[in-house]
Amino acid sequence: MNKLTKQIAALAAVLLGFAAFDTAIYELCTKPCLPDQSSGMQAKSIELDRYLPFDDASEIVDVKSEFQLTDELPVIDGAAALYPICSAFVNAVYPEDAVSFDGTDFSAESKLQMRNTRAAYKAVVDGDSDIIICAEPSEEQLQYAADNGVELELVPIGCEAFVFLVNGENPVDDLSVDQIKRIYSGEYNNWSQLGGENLLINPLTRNTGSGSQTAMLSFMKDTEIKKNPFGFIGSPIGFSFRYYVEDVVEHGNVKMISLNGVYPDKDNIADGSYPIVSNFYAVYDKSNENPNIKPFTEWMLSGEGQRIIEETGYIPMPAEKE
Amino acid sequence: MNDKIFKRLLLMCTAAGCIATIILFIITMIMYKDCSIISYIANGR
Repeated sequence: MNKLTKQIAALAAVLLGFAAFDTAIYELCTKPCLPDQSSGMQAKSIELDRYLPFDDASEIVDVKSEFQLTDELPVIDGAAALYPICSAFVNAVYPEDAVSFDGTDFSAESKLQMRNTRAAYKAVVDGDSDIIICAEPSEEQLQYAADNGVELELVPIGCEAFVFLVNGENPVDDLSVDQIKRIYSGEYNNWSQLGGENLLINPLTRNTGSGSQTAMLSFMKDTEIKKNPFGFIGSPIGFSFRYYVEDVVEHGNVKMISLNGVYPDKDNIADGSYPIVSNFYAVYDKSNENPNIKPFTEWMLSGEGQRIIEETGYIPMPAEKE
Repeated sequence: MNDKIFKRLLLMCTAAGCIATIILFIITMIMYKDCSIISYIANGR
């Protein structure tokens, strides 16, 4: 091999080395972010049209109520995880022409909207939505309301378990509440400390203002969340609300873990043995003059409203459960 | 190719590779910053 050939080979080796390195970085960063293929999860997070009201093919709980609203219809909005409930409420109580859907999203004049938690809280303060169905507001959302002179009324209409999730191949099935707090405070940083494999723990968090992140901050109370900067090479733990992940738990490579030995199934949530259960609320501006807001939220707590919540897969309010 | 030109080309290739790596890393972080927590757990370890 002459000198020129060796020089060209050396240059090619450098370029190929970088190409291989960049490909590896891309794979490392993006592989965990591939969309989950579970159809139920996709439906809950993206496909609004699978839970449309007034649609024979809809997957919502189809209840027709004697309580009907005909005019001054409140705009109802909320968290994506609670959208099937919002839609079923509208289906039960609103006239059919109250909803318009353009194939991908609700049009501006539709009385059913789906902005998700952060935007929904802003919308109810700004007056763009009248009632939102969400988890409790974050401190920032309460502050935004206060800054705008809005006092929010939170009516608890149902409850749901706050669950922790790990990869399906993680041998850890049960953790105590204290262990979870120690994971998120950075005290435990390897799964081997908790009976698992010798892998770093990657404690995942959500966007500030999302319903589950607010619930997590409430769970941690005054304990600061610390993330391991090298955790991304380890095995993750995350959190969500049970209903939102139940399908992916059934069909995907994710499992919910028991807390203090109690698995978050519906029976354990309803009887109070699962330790972290959060209410979700119908939230409205106390000064909103729409006359249908109060009757509508009261109907949500009626037998029909609570039946929709239960049959959708959530837990009705204990006192109202039939 | 004399040694001087070769070293210069080698340096340029290395610099280009480093720059491409940094740009790729930044673009990847921006594109995937809203990665679903569920997908991350399901596709992770």
